[in-house]
Amino acid sequence: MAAEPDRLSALPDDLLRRILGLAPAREAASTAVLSRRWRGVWPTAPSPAVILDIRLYDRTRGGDSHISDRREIDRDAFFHDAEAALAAHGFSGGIRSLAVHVEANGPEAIQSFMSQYHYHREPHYIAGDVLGHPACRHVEVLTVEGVPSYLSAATTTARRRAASRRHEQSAVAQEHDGYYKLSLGSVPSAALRVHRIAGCKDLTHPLPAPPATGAAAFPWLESVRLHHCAVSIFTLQDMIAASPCLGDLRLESVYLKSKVSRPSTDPNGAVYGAHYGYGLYNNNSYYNNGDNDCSGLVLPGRDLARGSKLRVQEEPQDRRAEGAEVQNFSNAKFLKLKLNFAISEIAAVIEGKKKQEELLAETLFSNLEGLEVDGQYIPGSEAAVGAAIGNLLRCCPVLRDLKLKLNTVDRNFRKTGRRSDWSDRLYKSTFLERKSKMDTRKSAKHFAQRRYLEFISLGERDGDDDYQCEVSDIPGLSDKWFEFSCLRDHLTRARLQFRMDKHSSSFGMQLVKFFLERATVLEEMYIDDGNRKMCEL
Amino acid sequence: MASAGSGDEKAAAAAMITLISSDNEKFEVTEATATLSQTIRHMIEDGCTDGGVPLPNVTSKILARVIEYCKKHATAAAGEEGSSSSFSDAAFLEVDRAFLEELEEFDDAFLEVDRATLFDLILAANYLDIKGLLNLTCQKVADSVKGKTPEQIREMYNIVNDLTPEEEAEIRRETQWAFE
Repeated sequence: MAAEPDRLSALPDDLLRRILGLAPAREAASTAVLSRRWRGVWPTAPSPAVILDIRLYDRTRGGDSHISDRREIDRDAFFHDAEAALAAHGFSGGIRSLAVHVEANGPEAIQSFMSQYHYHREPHYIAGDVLGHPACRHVEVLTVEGVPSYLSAATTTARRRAASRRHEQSAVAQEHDGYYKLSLGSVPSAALRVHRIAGCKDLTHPLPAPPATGAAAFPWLESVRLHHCAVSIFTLQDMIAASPCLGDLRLESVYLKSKVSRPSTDPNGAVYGAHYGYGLYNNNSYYNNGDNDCSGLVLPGRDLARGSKLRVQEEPQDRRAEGAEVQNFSNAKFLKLKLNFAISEIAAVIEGKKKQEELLAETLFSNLEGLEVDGQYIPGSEAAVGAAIGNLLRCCPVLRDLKLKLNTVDRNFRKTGRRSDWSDRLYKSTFLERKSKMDTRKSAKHFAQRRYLEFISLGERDGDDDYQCEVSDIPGLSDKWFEFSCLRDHLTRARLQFRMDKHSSSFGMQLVKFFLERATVLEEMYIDDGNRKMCEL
Repeated sequence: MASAGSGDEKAAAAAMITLISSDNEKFEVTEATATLSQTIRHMIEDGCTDGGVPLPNVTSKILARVIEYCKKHATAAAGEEGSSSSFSDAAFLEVDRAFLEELEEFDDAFLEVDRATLFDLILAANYLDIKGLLNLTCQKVADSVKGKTPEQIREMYNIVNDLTPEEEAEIRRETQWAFE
């Protein structure tokens, strides 16, 4: 058999380094011994990258990433290698990209790896030994992931990425909101541009010390992605405030804790973790379309009381479009919210303290111009939904374009949610999209110009143009004590889309009325009532 | 899918670029597809694409694969832009999501190639400066060495060890931790 030529070694240095930067540190380092060609390829890459993967220190399986219920991880070896890999990059802050993947038996085991915690007294931990290593001081891209091994069923090469994503998502539906605590103070922030954290149950103060006096704590941070984490809204807020370059914030399956005392008023931080209270919880449950091996997968709906499920995805689109300077989160211009759960749960947020209201209202989305909300609605919760919408509107004082889509909660789907269900849903959604487009176009003729509207007419199908109805106000939303500056001065376009059953469609009508009355500068309004049951009040 | 459809329409209206492989085969692609390559993007910006773009480092077999990749991902980029910038009615996330899944499946299937093709793709992606494709292909190689000893890597890629036993021992001593 004629041997294949050695194509790998024939690659130019920069490509070899790129490849080694994508491989775990130990394998990358060991390539030095392959042949003369490979000497010195690692670690002198122009943009040094280190990947530390705990799975390779699995004594039980010899590093093979198969499912394993009980892992025996060679902790000393991991930290020994980590130290060596980092040290090989010099102590001058040489590493540009660092990824740490921790997979252990359970939350406690992950915690014991990640950071020093009161009942763990391990001499080595990642927050200190790895993140705090001098070689990491100027890291630009930092990824920290923690996943319990029972969720990380895995994987042969080709399906790895898809599978790992699915596992992360199935993790969402587990009872834990992350598995480890991490102090922002341990993050090397001086040069950090991209930060990705997954599976962190508490991202805590203090912020890292600014690299220079007067500078921000995260002077270059552009992109933050939190996946399957829980974080106090105050911590997040402070982190955002300390990141003047932040243009892209992605919160995926993130639980925003809001009912905890602000750390400044509670210096010893005793309240942290004591109770989660209400918050916003993003959930990607739509993506839990995976195979049946996602056992343990429980779709939301199991407890309403804990908080709403909310997906926040901020699009860095204005940056992409015109290179505009995106100052920080509050400069976000466009926001899509996808609530896989009852929209009324957001209302909980504003029932908190006055201070919190101000915080939310004044700083959260102070420059947001486009808002798209896709939410669900439980019949009978009109007041809470009203309050939730009011809450969102108040957070967005200069909102111009609003798109609101409400569905009545479909409980049956929630219970099963396997692939067939999901594809069915997808089919429906695309089908409905097309249908709704047609509907919207039709109704747009009737509703396009608000200034010509003297009364509400929805009786298109019945053909009675003078159909007039009594629509009551929405408690919690139409109450006088709300002042919506966006409605008064800015909102020019509103799109409302409803998929509701017969009994709750009057709520849609109330919303239409609310916007028509309150939005004084409204120019366009699109109403799509889906199956048009709204007419059958 | 609505987002994909609008991307195609947009692309159809756009200018076409002719790419010429090393074995002189011509490929007509849309500008949106071609500009996934930074190299070609710069050429278009400099206005030197009339009469086709010769790519002397890329064979027709590889170029066809690269174009296949670019087409798929250009549609994705168009769909993404459409949904985030214009509030289009089809912009709901489940549709985006399905598309991303599809894209990922495409990538996985795309990587099911023999090793020689994989290296050709790496070199082509590097030459054409297509970031996504370069990362995808390099990651595949990086994954293949995960958990492998140097001996296994040598065997896998037919790497001839030309180090003397003394040299090898020295390197192993220097980087001892990687070999324990």
